[in-house]
Amino acid sequence: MATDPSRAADEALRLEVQADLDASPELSRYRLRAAVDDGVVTVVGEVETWDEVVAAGYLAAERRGVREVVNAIRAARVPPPVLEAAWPAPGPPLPGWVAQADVVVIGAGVIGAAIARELSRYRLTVVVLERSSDVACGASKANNGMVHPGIDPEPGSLKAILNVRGNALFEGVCRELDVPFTRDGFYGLTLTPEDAAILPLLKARGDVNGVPGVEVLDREELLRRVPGATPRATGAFFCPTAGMTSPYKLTLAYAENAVANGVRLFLETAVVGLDVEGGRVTGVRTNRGPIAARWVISAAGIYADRVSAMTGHQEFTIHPRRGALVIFDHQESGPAGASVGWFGLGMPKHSKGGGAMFTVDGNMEWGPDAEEVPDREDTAVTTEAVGQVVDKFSGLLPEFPRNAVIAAFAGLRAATYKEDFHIAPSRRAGGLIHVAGIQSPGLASAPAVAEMVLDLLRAEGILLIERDGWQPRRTEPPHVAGLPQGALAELVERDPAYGRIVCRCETVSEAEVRAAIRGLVPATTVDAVKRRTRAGMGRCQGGFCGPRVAAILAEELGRPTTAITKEGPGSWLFAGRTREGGLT
Amino acid sequence: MDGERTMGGARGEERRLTCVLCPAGCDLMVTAPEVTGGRCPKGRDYALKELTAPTRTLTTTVRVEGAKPDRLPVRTLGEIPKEAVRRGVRALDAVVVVAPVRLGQVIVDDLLGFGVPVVATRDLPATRDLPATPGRIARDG
Amino acid sequence: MKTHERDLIVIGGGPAGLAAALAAREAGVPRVTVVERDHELGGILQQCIHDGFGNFLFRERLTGPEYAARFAGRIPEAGVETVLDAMALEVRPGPEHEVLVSGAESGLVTFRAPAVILAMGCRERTRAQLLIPGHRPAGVFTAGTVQRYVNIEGLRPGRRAVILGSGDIGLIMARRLTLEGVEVEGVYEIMPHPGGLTRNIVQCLDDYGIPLHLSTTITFIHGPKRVQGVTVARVDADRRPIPGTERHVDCDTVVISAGLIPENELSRGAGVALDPVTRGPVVDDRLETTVPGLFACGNVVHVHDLVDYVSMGGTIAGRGAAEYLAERAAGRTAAGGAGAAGEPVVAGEPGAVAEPGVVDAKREWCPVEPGENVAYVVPQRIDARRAAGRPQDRPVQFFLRVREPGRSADVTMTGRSPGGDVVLAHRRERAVRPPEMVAVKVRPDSLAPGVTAIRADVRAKGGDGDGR
Repeated sequence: MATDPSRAADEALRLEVQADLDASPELSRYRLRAAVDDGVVTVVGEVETWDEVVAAGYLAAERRGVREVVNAIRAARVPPPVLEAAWPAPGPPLPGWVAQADVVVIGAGVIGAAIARELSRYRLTVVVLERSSDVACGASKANNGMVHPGIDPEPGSLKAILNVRGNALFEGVCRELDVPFTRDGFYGLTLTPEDAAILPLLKARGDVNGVPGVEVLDREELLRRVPGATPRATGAFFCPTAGMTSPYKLTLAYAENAVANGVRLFLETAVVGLDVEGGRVTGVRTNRGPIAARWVISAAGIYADRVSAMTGHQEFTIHPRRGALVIFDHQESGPAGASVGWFGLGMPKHSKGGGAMFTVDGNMEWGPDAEEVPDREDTAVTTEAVGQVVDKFSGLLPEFPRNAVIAAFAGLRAATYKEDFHIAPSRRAGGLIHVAGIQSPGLASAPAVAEMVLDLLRAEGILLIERDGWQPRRTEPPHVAGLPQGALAELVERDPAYGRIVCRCETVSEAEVRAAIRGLVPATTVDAVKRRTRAGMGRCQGGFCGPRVAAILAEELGRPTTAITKEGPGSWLFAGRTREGGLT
Repeated sequence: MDGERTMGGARGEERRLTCVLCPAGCDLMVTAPEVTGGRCPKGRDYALKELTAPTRTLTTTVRVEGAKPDRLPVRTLGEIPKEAVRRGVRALDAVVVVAPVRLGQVIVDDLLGFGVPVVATRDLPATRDLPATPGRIARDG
Repeated sequence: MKTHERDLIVIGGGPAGLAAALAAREAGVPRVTVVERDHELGGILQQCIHDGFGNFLFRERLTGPEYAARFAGRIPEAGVETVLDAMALEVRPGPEHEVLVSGAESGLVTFRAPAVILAMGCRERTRAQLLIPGHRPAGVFTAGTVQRYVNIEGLRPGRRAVILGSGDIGLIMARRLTLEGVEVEGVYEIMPHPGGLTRNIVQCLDDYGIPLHLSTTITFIHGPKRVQGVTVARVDADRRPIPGTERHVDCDTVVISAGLIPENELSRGAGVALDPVTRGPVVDDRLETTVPGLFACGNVVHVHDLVDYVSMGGTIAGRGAAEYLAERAAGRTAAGGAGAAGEPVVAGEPGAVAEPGVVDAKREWCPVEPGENVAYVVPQRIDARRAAGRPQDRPVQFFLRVREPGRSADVTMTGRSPGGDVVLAHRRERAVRPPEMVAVKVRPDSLAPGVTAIRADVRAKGGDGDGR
């Protein structure tokens, strides 16, 4: 495929990377090997630990001219991932199944859903395939909801361009889709005089990236504006455009609006292979049968490299980086306001270090941290991670009651070793577009990523003709919590089921639960209901409403309660009924 | 199969058990008919009964037809031998009661031949059209 | 939206609320309404199908539903109005308190009444609050939720369970699950002593050969979709896991029984002062909170070990509310204002206060403080002069919880008065343990000499009362 000059460049690059591996004090003893093809470095060999695998990947990515890294190094001391085998079992085609589509989007996270919604404007048959039982089941449900301003990414990177553009689009998108969005800004605190001294440089980076309104504050101004901030602070920067949204509500809204405009979404449907003929993708194979397609967009998150490998030529490796978040009770949160984080030279290289934020639901939320893990399903929360998050943000907000935690959870960032977004047509299979390496600020960038993918498709020759009657608006069904009394009375008058509260902690009514199950992207699991309605998210964590939600799901779906799951296949809730024998 | 892991049974050797008659929770040493270790005399009768013929009240549920939820709480009206509790619960697997049920209604006349009846411990009205969700049960009166 | 005028609103139809409503009616309060979120009265008792309730009040060992029926059965004939399937969303304090209620049949309504009794009960501590590390799979339940699934819905939550925490509900559920064919591998308790009653340890664990592992906790829950097992480890004196003691336990279910927390979101919203130790409202001798006319009883105030005590508290609050309404009506009459129709009008001293806020200001509070080996005492303050004026069959009821177990313990309530310290009440307990509340009554006449402060002490003669 590669021309002779590029083959020479590849060889020159290979020598450089090999020299780096051989010179590394940490890695040289393993005699790792590098190969380069079309600017993609592949490293092979065996090391002891997972951290060494990751270190080798980063080392191989350092040289100029390396487009991406495929890291095939094995770690002798790391057992093979056991949690990853959780793919949906083969099944029959779902209702509405199509054998042929113009565009198949793999993955219904915020990126896949945003792209699908953008595609729904045009006269195309668009299919979205999602392996989970609901949309937003990967990183899209397990991030901190921050809509970053765009001050962190390297100028010129895709992250920088798309983050700033996405942030600017956010208000409009959330208004059209009826998704909560607040723009209260972000304070990055410094704790040493040295770090405070580089704040002007940071502002300069923001200016280059096009971030509006960045301010540098001295200690007194910070403490005046953020009363709970630590007196140890030495200064801060402030980004007024930083915001917060509900990441899974946004994903759901994108998906619902796409479905309303004719996109077909198939849940519990996993892509197991790609059909490639004559250097061009011709379709996907799934656990429910094949779908022929002219264009395939891979927004597969943590598994995006596996999709790439399905062409026969893997173009990058995704390495999961876990982040833990802790959530606090409403009553401890006080009035919502700007988010707070730490800024300094000692920050971890590949993470912005998280923040202390008010979610759009009014809970204080701290995190995430960053930890490389080998298993793509390992969203475990560890004592160390929670301790680190709590210690870190207690340091920034010393007066906050750190013991009012009501939940802790973790998500996995889908990082490439180049640490930038990888949004580009495959160089191995025509018609395939990779939307990979999407991690923070992926949420903020999502609207801009969708725009960019449409541009790429145009460049690939897709014919985009606007559809008549495209409906850009989507409306959130009513929620009892926070409704003014008069509006609530009216709602209950209209449908008494809004008066029957099933979740007392979050004030969620039976009608809301039923609406979630009957939605355009129907909730079919307890967690899917929780994400749509907040039932089970409060202080009692579903202790009270769990049985009620399970019963309503059973009734609405026409299944026995014993068939209801927490989050799809494998996450069963009940081992049958009592008093019906069958016991040993 | 039926609770063979349970303690108890007096065969003359010394046995230890915890008195449950008050919060003191005395450790009693029993070599029938001697009982030592108690801080008061009350534990003696308890201990001897516990070692010679321990009994328990059985509480569980039985299936109901014509009501939702479709389980009815029941109890033995009196105690049955401790070793028979599991067997008693299994025996009730076969029982299906038809709603309505009144508190105190006899569900089984004689559980396992111990001469102890099983009774309902609550009223359970019949539900004409069965709601599938809790909170929709029809109320009588 | 409709507004209904009442004399007393009771929020919660469990044992506390039912006893309160009945007591208030008996004391002559005309219009009493109970708001209950479930479709029937009885609260959590309906799922507590085991026996052992009512030993104090009825000298019987009733099951939960039977105990509930003893009170709920009297509600219609007592003329108490019930609003079922209805959730109180907000309590707005004022001269007339307002309770915003949302119900399937009632719709959204406001109840307005001069007196409100908070009887919402408590909730369970969750896995998240314990911050148990690991995945977040299906199969992690609180003990009370499992109790509801098994006893009411007839659903079996798993096949092999471990129980975290030796609270009473967890012990009870160890037995229930075993009888329902769920293998209970063991109970793990982080403390060096059990959290539940001795009787439950013997009859729920020992009877079935279920081991109780003290000073041991779960350090990791393995998933990710359904529980695949847990890692357990012994803990040191500071409750930190001891490295090297980890052990993997195969199970598909984790049942958490690690304590109860008074449910006080409504109280907090109403501006009631909360005690950081009990996590319930600060209350006085008639269980009135710091907001005049707002009363609290049962597990809202502090977590009780016996339902009999919950009912007793309900009775005190119900009578207290009646007393308050009478005072209030008297005040209004004296001030020349007309009481609302149907409001009890009781003759009182001329010039008595007209506004609830003033009632509070005029009170001289006698603080009640925990002394030796006492974690907390409820009520936290009393109006000693008022209490001293009551008939002798209405003593001030104190409940306290000890910090450390002990045997042959002297429980003493000491009053400070101008004439020196006086012993208000004393009793000898064969043993005291933190899980078991100690109830002490103080006779009204003993408060006569002008008691200004009260202290509770528990002095053990020796040994520990743990007995295990």
